[in-house]
Amino acid sequence: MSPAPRLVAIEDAPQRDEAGDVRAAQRGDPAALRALFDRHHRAVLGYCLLATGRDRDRAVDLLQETFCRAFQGLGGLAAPERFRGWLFSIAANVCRTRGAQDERRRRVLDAVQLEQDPDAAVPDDPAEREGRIAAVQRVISHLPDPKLRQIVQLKYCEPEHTTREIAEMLAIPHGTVTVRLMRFRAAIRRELCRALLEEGVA
Amino acid sequence: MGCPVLNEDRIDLILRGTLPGPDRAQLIAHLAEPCEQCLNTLSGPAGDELLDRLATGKLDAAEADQVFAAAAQTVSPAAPTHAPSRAPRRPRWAVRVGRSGSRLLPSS
Repeated sequence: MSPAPRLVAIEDAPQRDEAGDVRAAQRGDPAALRALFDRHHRAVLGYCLLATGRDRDRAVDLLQETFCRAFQGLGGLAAPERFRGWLFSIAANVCRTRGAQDERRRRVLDAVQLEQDPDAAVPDDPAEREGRIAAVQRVISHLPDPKLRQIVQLKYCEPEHTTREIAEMLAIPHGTVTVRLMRFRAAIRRELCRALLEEGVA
Repeated sequence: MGCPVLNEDRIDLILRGTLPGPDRAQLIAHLAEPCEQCLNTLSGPAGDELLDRLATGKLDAAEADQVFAAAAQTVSPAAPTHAPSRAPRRPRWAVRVGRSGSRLLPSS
């Protein structure tokens, strides 16, 4: 007797990798599109809720527009492993162009975007680039370790450097750079939690 | 040792959405401090749970199907998708434009 198809799909779901799903979705595989939607829509909706001051109807409209644009543009995404960051960049753009992103919420939205994909390439959009650098600077300002601040500046502020370049410039092992950057990612989460609590979430 | 401010009890209150005002104020102030224990907590599963609670939204199954179907329709007509349980959600601006447009048409 063959197993129920739905059960197989659920069991397989966690094993699917992101880049594989993106490539399959680029070929028009509907199951892969659905997997990408299921994996990311809650986080994108959270972003849209913050952008709209928790106007749920409006946030769901923005969520839908984000996924419409993402699915339409998916064929042009050259780095499938960067899907999440790319998706958030679309969400940010949708929220901005629909006037849902006012300055009061800019700080928390920049922090969300940075937390979602700290290793994303420097955004082309000037507003996004500024937001990203400002978010990094805010996190750095709460870091007591000067070496970590230096590493983060080199990694995330223009011009960006690779971790290997940073290790060479500072004459420290490459592993030390990567471990310190993991600490920075935890600090991004701390900044985000603070911003969200200030925003009145929870 | 964990952080005395961002501790299990407070994390639990945040996850339940019942963090009292004074605790919130104390926590906000504390999260601006260079606390290494907070970083340990936030880089682990408790941090995942907290951000999941604070930074994400939820759709019910029907809404998710509807939003997905509308987005998937834009990919290509050939790509089969989960059938929407209702008509695809229209943006509110489209509904408004539709209404005002119909007012311009002659009634007869």
